[in-house]
Amino acid sequence: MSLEVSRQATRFFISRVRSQVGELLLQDYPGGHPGPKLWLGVLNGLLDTSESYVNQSEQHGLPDQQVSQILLDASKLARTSYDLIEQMAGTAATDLHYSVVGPLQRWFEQSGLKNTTLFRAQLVANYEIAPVDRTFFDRIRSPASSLEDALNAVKWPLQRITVPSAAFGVLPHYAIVAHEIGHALFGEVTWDFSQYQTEEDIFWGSVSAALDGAVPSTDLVLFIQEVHNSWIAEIASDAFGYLMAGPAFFFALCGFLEAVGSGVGISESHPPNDLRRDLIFDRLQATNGVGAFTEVFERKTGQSLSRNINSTLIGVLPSTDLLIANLANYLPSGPSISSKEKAVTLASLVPLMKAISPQVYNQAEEFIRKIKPELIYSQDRFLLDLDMHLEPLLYAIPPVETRNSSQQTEPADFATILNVGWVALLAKLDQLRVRSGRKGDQQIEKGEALHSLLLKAVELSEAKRAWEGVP
Amino acid sequence: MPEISSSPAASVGLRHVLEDGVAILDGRSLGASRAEFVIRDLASLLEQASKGGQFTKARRLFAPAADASAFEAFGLVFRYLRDAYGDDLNAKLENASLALRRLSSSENLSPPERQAARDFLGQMLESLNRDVSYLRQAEPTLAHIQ
Repeated sequence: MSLEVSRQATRFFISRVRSQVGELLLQDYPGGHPGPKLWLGVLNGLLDTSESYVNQSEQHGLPDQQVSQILLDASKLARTSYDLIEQMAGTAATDLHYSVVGPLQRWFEQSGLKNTTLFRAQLVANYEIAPVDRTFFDRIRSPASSLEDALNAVKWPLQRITVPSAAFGVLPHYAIVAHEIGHALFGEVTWDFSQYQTEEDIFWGSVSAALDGAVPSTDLVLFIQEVHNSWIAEIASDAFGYLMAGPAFFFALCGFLEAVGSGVGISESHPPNDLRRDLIFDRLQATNGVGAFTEVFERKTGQSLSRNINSTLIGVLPSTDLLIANLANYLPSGPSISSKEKAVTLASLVPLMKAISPQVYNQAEEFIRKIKPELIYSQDRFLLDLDMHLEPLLYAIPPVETRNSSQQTEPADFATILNVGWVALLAKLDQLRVRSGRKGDQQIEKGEALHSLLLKAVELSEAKRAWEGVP
Repeated sequence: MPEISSSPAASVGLRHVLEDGVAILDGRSLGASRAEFVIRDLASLLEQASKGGQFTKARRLFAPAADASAFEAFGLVFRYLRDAYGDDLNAKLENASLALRRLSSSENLSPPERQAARDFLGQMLESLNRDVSYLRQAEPTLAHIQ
């Protein structure tokens, strides 16, 4: 009797989750991007599988223990479908501006990635990409045919891309999405750091010395590898972000880190903020064609582009000893790794990262040049974009279309809009000709007006793209 | 934010594949396509874990990035089998990985090879079941900035 109660309870929850999934299937999703409905198909397939387990548990003659296990699996699958509905939060047209998804999706596809994407906005001051792997679903025994069909319809790993919603959903910051795309590209590159063996040996030597000569345990080595891999992925993704969005990525990353009060920013998942900033700034200063990005900026605005132009508040790393002491106070000890071991790991990785990062940037650029050179936002293009759009933008004319090398007009792309927008924001905002409608800080009002103009630029360039059938 | 890798479905799927792997090594029959998937999946998981184990033992950082999954796979195996095998873990893992690789290439295994692979998967299954039974509800965690 009690197993029958469990069976009915499981059916009840399956039915409730199915209704919830059904309601979400009826919603509209911004930019008509197919990710949300494909994902809901997977959840429905999981529910069908769960239901088939419940049916299987009714098979005559099964021992109670087996029936319990089958019902437990059924309830776990239903619970998983419910949990995974959370991935859908913020994907609706009411959460994410409809015109923004198109360019973000195009950026993703232009970089050669074919994965199904799920764009969403959340009330979290965070940009993030999270891959969802098919293996977790494939391992489930006796999947319903609807689950197999839904899995086959998705291009895996599905990439869930999250941007901040509402107040922190500022269009110029969306250049950070190029960094998230970089995370997806990271696994496509065969990275080679074999020339840095000496630096690696020095790293292990400093870890050992800071731990009084102790040989790191397997737990610590796994921790070190995990942090190291995360940091390399972050630096490589910054490199891709810089390559795809140019100065706009630098401004967006620094501006966002400062806006969220990120401080020194060193953590198990991320290298320190000022190291990341320095690495990108070094690239902005590199001369190419019409000059460095910094020179173009200065030429067009009359202002210098300094390293901390919009990130004065970002914390700078202290000395290694002080850093270890500070981190040891802040990082919690784990069951098998102490705070001090964690602190030593992070502090010792900083010089190693400084040594290998130029190589990360070089290899990221080689990769992009090989697969899609036109994806690179160059110094020439920066100059062209500012020549064409900066002055009109100050007269409240959004950068909707641009001229290509054959003097034909084409819809302005996302990187153009972001770069022109950032230069106006940082160097020309006081010259923006918008009517002051209310009392208060004019700069804030102009910032809002500029944001609206940039959103309008994205919206109209997307409309033009659709109208003219430009891919 | 529930992550798929720590979701109940992940533990259900991993348990199913380990149970089916043990069944195959015990000589019980599964559907052909399921058997093929299970052997291929476990061979790949253990091969990656074995590679990750070698890098970890050698204290190497500059593994090719494609092998980040090797560290993850070794982390999974280490989590479930560190207590059972201690310092022998890498050797046992290597043997089980080799056996499954050979099985996936339709080679015959000697009875001791088969038994060693079966014991390895069985031990992992036992540890997974124990882990799942006492698994606490995951704490919500802040997603990474950028």
